[in-house]
Amino acid sequence: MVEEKKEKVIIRAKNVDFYYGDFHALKNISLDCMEKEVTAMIGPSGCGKSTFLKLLNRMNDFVPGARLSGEVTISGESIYGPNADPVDIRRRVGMVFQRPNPFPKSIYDNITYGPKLIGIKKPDLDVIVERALKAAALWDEVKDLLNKSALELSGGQQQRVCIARALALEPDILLMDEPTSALDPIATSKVEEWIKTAELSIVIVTHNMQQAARISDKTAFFFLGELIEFGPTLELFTRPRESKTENYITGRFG
Amino acid sequence: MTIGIFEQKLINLKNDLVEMGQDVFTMLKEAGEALVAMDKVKAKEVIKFDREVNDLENSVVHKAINLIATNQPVASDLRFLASSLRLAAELERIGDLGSNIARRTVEMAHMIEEGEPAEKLPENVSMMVQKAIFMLEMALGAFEKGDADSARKVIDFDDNIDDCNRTIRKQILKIVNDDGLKAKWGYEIITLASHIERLADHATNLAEETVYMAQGKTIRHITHPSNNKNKK
Repeated sequence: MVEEKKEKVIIRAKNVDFYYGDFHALKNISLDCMEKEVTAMIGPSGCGKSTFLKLLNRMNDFVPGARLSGEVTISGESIYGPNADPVDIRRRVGMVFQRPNPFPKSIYDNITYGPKLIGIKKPDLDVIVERALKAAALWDEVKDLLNKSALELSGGQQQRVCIARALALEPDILLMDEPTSALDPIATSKVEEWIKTAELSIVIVTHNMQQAARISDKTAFFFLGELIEFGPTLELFTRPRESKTENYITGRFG
Repeated sequence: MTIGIFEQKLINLKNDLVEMGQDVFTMLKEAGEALVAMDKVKAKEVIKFDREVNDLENSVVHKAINLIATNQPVASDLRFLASSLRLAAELERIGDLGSNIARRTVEMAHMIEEGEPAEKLPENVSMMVQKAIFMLEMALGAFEKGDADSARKVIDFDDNIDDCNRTIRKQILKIVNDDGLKAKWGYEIITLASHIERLADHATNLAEETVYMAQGKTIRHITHPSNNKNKK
């Protein structure tokens, strides 16, 4: 008997509005991301995709005048409720940014920085470093260089150190904000290969539509703060339902 | 709004396909006329023209592959480029069938000239070729306009051509049964009807491709009436 694959919602946004002061940045967004799927966010600059991404680990908390209405849940728990702990949320929801930003420390210290903060000690740290670097497809390249400064690595390797650093805390979700835009094609393909095989719930913002098409299971198209279309990536890129999506992805926007 | 370079190249490619379609249509129309009139000279011109259609196919395929490789198209652009490769192949095949019909015409005209046992071209074969050419014209029009509804009408019409083919086969077999000396002539007519039937199948394929291009729906191997018949 064929076992039925059950999709489980890991991130749920329901009627989310978000403001930077008077600016209405996100308008009534409702969206479900599934566990262990890659969800891509595309849209022109200023459309709200990065704002949405940052909502998911409360990075916008630091922006003066920012306010949110609606509901965002992770594994069914509200991350903006009175009992939500932003530090715990950021441990469960890791993030990788546009430019590789390793600490000016050794590879080993980069990976163990977070685990040490929550009290983990050797030899467990060694296990975490190996596991995280293997998960980020970097272990074979750096296993003999763990005490080398992460800043001496290539751009692609640095970005994978950042991925490994995020994975060291075993997050439930990884957010990636244009993670390959500063990388060359070879480094980009290594990061993309990792994303495709990671078996992790990933939400990625990208300006590179071919990248979204290559690596994601579902794609969301944002425009002027609205979610115009959200669905299986293959469908969105071969026969989008909305004419705005069609015009954007075929480059005829305007 | 200004048209971008890529968009202009897509328009040019579509124009190439429309032009290829018009050439193939003219070829088939002349093949049909040559058949009905048993005009050997005209039929030979049709045969010669096939080479130009083959060159057009190569040109369309080359341009479409270049556009796919250099622009990573998506959505309707991707569907159009994928379809253009198949449409060019279908049109080239239709050109081949036009050439085949013309070859049979030359052969039958030769038989008549030599006084071999033959009958005049059955009326329903003339009708069948006209219907198939009409289908081709409809399919080309639907493609040019990107009109899925008209394309679906072409697909529905294919049944009619299949029926013609079956009727002609029965009729010719009876004639040959009654007069064995007409076997060669009968063979030519049955072969001719098969070519016309295949022509209609390719017109149907053009129409199915138009539906995919316009709506993103794959109906090939699903709605083709002849497929359903084969399963019976």
